[in-house]
Amino acid sequence: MKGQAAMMEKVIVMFFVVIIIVALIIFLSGWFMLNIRTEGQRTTNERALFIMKNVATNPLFVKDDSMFDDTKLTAASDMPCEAFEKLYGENWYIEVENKFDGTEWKICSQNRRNTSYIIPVNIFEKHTGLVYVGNLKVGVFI
Amino acid sequence: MLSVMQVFQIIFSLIAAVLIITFLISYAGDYQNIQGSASKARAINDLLSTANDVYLTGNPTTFDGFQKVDLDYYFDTGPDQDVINSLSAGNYPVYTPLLMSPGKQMILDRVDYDYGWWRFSLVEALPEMKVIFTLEDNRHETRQIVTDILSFMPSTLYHDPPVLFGLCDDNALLNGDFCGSGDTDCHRTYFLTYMNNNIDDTDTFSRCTAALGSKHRLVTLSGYCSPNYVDGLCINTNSKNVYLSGLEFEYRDTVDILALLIGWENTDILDHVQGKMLYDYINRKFIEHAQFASEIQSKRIDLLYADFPSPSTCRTLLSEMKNIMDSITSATDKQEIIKLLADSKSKHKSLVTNGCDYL
Amino acid sequence: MRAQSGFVMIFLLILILIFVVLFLVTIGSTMKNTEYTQLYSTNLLLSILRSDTGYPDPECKLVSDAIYCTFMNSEHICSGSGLSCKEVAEENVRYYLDYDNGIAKKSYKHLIIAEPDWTAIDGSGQIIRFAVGDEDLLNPRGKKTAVNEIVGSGSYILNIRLLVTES
Repeated sequence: MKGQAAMMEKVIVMFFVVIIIVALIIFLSGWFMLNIRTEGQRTTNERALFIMKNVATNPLFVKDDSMFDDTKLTAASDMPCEAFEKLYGENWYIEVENKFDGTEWKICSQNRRNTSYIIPVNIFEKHTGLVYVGNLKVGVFI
Repeated sequence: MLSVMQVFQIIFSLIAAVLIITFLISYAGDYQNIQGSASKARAINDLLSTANDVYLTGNPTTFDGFQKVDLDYYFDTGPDQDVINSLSAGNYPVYTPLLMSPGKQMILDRVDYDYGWWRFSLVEALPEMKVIFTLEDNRHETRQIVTDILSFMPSTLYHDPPVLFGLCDDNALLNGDFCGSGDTDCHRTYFLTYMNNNIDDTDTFSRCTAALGSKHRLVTLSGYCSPNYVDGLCINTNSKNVYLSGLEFEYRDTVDILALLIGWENTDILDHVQGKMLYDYINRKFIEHAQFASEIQSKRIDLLYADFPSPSTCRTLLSEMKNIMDSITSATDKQEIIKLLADSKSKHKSLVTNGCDYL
Repeated sequence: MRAQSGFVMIFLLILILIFVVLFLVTIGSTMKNTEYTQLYSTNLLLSILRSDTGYPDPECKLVSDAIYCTFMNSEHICSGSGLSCKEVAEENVRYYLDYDNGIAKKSYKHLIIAEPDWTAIDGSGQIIRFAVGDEDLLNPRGKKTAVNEIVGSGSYILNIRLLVTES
């Protein structure tokens, strides 16, 4: 009986040691998955911010940093999305809105889940020379 | 004498210990592989992030994210996608024009072609290197080619890793301090000053036969380059062709040379010469970006017409600019596009001068 | 007894592991994007200052002109408006910082203040002050983002500052 009890004790201790090891492995794996998810989100956020800063300083769209030219926006939004994707990659969109009259310009916009950022910008109206305030929204589809 | 119980305990303990240790070692091995791949992935993502920052700001930056990681990646370019390909960490798409030569530590800098109405920018990422020039054909025009190449290379006076320049004549490399910089090796600025002040058409140089290290990159300017010229990069100053690794390339602008110089003779896992890969890649990117920009500008000009009466100076200039834009969109040859872009730059200046558009 | 104490030790170890995981999860969810906040703040101030007020008077054409005129020429009336420079500047800044009609985000509190590097006094001898938004942000305590723009030249430099904090 005493021998059997000692044997059971050893089996039970071994069982708990295995549980601890499995728990450690699950914890490490879970922590690693958390890291990957965070890293993935960070990459998406960085891409959205990069596209935002690139668009806001690109002479193809702006007159000055963060001051869009309405004629350039109109010309650019007339281009097919595929033309933008070829140069700047896929799964992103931009929208510019003039707060004064509600005019909107959209490039590669779709109704899909996305991570997006909005910043205030200016819109230069070429015809009148006036400068309005608006919003630039850049999103990366998830 | 051991009892049966004790024997059982020993055997059971041994079996349990072996099972647990085997399981742990196997998991540790997998975990180490996963962590190794994760480190490489992080390093490559950080490199691309740094390249994006340099693309936006134009500020040169040192990147040393590969100090503790194997350099098993290469630039894989093609019409469908341009990626950094790592054998153990996957593919990473590259969106900003990038000319890259892998290294444990790299200097990243931006190069711009500014046309006024549009700008083409690319990022160059270089490891430590020493570019050695041999001026077998020594004339003012060929020295201008050297000056143009240097203007596209980063100044590493205050940055690491050093990108240095030197001269070779026959079997001798001129010493590091020949350009008058004291203890400092020949950084770009000192080399340019030395060349402008000390070399003229009367100096002669023979083909370089000096022993070169792995960090050296020999650039020969000669009237006699051919596909059989095996020492580094050879620029034929008569035919305007360039030779690298037995391959022949057209020389239309400095970026052609830059791509070959940065990619160099290194081969990837598929035996592609990286110099050729970068040359084809950057020319494709340049044409794509130029045609895209021209198409947008052409559409914009259609909108600008309404602001000016017909006939008027602005209308005429806008019409001429639109013709240039439409020609660029339909062109197939880089040489032709370069010429049209030069025309567009002066036309844009005229538009600004006449108050038809802004700078 | 020995087995029981061992069991308790193991149980404690598992509990510690669970808490560490929870801690890491909460750390991840509270990380804020400070780069975005900086970009948002810089662009908000720049956009407001560079925008047209709608009045053609050169002293009040842009919002930055109207704010500068507030300190340089406090008695000036913007032609076509019947309002002083200060009133035009405040009207525009208040409009843009409004959560419903303007461009300011509801998740932030804002304050725009202008500080001249000379002593600006109005017609009645009062020191001129320009501050639009949530004046709690003037409290030195609390984490905030500050961005500046300089207007003017020579001896009359005006520092226009935007303070932003999360609501």
